[in-house]
Amino acid sequence: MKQLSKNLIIIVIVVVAVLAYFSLFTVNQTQEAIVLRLGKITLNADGKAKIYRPGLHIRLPFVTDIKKFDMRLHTMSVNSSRIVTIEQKDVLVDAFVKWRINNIIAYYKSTGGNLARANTLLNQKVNDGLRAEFGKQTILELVSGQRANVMAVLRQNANEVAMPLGISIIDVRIKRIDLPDEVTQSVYSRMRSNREKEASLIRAQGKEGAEKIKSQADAQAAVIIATAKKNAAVIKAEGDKEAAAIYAKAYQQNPEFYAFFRSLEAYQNVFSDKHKKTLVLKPDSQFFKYFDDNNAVKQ
Amino acid sequence: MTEPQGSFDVKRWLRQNLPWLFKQRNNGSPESGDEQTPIALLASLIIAFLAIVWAASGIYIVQPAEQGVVLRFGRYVRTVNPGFHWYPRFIEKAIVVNVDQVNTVDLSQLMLTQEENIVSVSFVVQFKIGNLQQYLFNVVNPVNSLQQILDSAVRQEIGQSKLDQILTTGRAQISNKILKTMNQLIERYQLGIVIRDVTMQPATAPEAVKVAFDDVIKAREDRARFENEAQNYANSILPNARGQAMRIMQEANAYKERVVLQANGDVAKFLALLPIYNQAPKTTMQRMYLTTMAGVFKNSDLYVIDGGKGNQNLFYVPLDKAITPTQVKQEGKAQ
Repeated sequence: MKQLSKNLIIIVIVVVAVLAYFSLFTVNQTQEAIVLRLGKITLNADGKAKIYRPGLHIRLPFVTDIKKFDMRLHTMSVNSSRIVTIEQKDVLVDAFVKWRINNIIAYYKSTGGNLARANTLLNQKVNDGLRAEFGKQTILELVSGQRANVMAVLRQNANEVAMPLGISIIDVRIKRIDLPDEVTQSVYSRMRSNREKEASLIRAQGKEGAEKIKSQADAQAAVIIATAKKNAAVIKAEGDKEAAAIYAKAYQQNPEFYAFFRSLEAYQNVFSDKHKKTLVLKPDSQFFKYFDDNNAVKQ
Repeated sequence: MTEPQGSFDVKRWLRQNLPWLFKQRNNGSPESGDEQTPIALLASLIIAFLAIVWAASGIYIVQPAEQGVVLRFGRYVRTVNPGFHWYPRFIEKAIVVNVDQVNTVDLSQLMLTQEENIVSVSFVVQFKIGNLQQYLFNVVNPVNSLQQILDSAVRQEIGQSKLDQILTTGRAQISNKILKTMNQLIERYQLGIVIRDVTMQPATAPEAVKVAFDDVIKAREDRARFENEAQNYANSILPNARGQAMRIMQEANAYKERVVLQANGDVAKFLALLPIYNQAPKTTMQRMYLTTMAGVFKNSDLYVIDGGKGNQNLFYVPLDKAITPTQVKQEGKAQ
C-alpha cells in the first residue's frame, strides 16, 4: 500500500513534468513567435494576433504549434545582374538589400515563415526595380552622381513592394557597377592613350624648359662677349688715338724730315727679314752715285 | 594500465575518500535490516551532489577584455562586465565574448572612377565590437554586413573621385569619407560594431594600362633630366664667356699700352735726330740714307743691271742659277 502510493506520487510527478514541458516554450532574444492552435493563429483580447516576445511562455500542450521568426536584420544579395542603362550599355550590378520582418502575420501568410522563400520573392521585386531605375540613367550618372539618389529611390520602391510580404526594407545599396568586358577594353585603351598624351606633353615641356635655359645662357654669353669686344674696341681706339697724337706732335715739328725719316725706316723694316730678298737695281740709283769710277771722274 | 584513466580514477577516488558511501551500501544489502534508510540517504546525497554541480556550473569569469550577456529563458536581461559571476543554469544562459579584440575586413578590387576610368584599390578596415547586445542580437552575421558596407561605401566614394586624386593626393580624404559613410550605415543597421581605422593602400593603375602609367612617371624624370642638363650647360657656358670677355679686355688694354709705348719709342729717335738735321740737313740726310741702304742691301741678293743708253746688252740671270745666293755672288764678281 505504501509502495503503491509512493509509485503513484512518482507517476504524478512525471506526468506533471511532461505536461509542464509541453506547455512551456521559450522565445530567443533574436526571435518573435506566434502560436497556432489547431492551425489557427491565436488572438489577443482585442482580436489581433498575439505576438510572443523573447522569454518563457505558456501554451496549450499537444494542440498548439509554435512558429518562431528571426527578427534580426537580414541581407538579400543581388549578384551580377546584367542590366541595360539608358545608353544601351550593359552593366554588371551587385547590390544588397537589408530587410527585417515588420509584420509577422503578413510575413507568415506570404512566405510560410520560410527565409529562402522570402529572399526569392524579394529578389524578384528588387531586381525589377533595379532594372527600371537603371534604365533611366547613364553609366556615368550611376557610377558617380546619381548613385545615392538611385539607392534612395530603390529603397522607397522596394519598401512599397515588400510591404505586402510583411517586410520592411531598411536599405538597398549598390556594391559593384562593372562594365562588361568589351567596354572595359575600350576604357583601358582610352586610359592608355590619355597617359601617352600626358607623357609626351611632359617630355615636350622638359625639352622646352631645357631649350629655354640653354638659349638664355647662350644669349647671356653672347652679350657678355659682345660687350667685352665693344669695350675692348673703345680701349684700343683710345690707344691708337693717343699714339697718333704722340706721332703728330713730334712730326709736325718737321714734316719734310719726317717723310724722309719714315721712308728710311720703312725700307729698313721691309728688308730686315731673315729671308733674303732679291733686289734688281739700275746702277744709276742714288746709292750707286759713286759706284762707277768713270762717272765719278766725269762728274 | 591502458584503461580509460578518467572513469577508473573517479571510482578509486570515491572509494578512497568517501569509504562510508561504499561501506553502507555493501553492508546494508546483505543485512537488509533497514531497507529504506540507505537508499533515501543515497538519493538525498545524489540530489545534494547534483545541486552542488548545478550551482558550480553556473560560475563563470569574465576576463578583462571580455563582456557577457545573460539571457533568461532566451530573453536578454543584462550585460556583465569583467569579474566573477554566477547564473542559474537551465534558467539563464551566459554568452561571453572578447570585445577588445580587433578584427579586420578588407577589399581589394578594380573599380570605376568618376570619369569612367578603372583603378585598382585596396582597403583594410579594423573594427571591434562596440555594443555587444546589438552585435549579438540585431543582425544576421554582422561581420558579413560590415563587409558589404565596406564594398558599397568604397565603390560609392571611388565613383565620386577622379583617377588622379585616387592615385596621388586624395587618399586620406577618401578614407575619411568612407569611414563617415560606413559609420552612418553601422548606425542605421545597429550592427554594434565600432570602426577603429580605415586604411587605403596606395591605389594603382590596372595591369592592362600599367606600362602607360609608368611611362608618365618616366616622362617626369626625363623632364627633370632635360632641365638639369640644360642647367649644367648654362653653368658651364656663362663662366666660360666671362673668362673670354676678361681675356678680350686684357688684350685690349695690352694693345693700348703697347701702341702708346711704341709711338713714344718711334718718336724718341726722330726727336733725337731732329736737332742734328736742323743743323745740317743735307749731310745728315745723305748719311742716314747711305747707312740705311747699306743695311738693306746687306740683307738682300742684289743685282745691278746697267740699262744705260750707250750699253744695250741685256743682263739676265738664268732662273736655275739664281736660286742660290752664292752663285749669284760669284757672277757679280765675274762681272
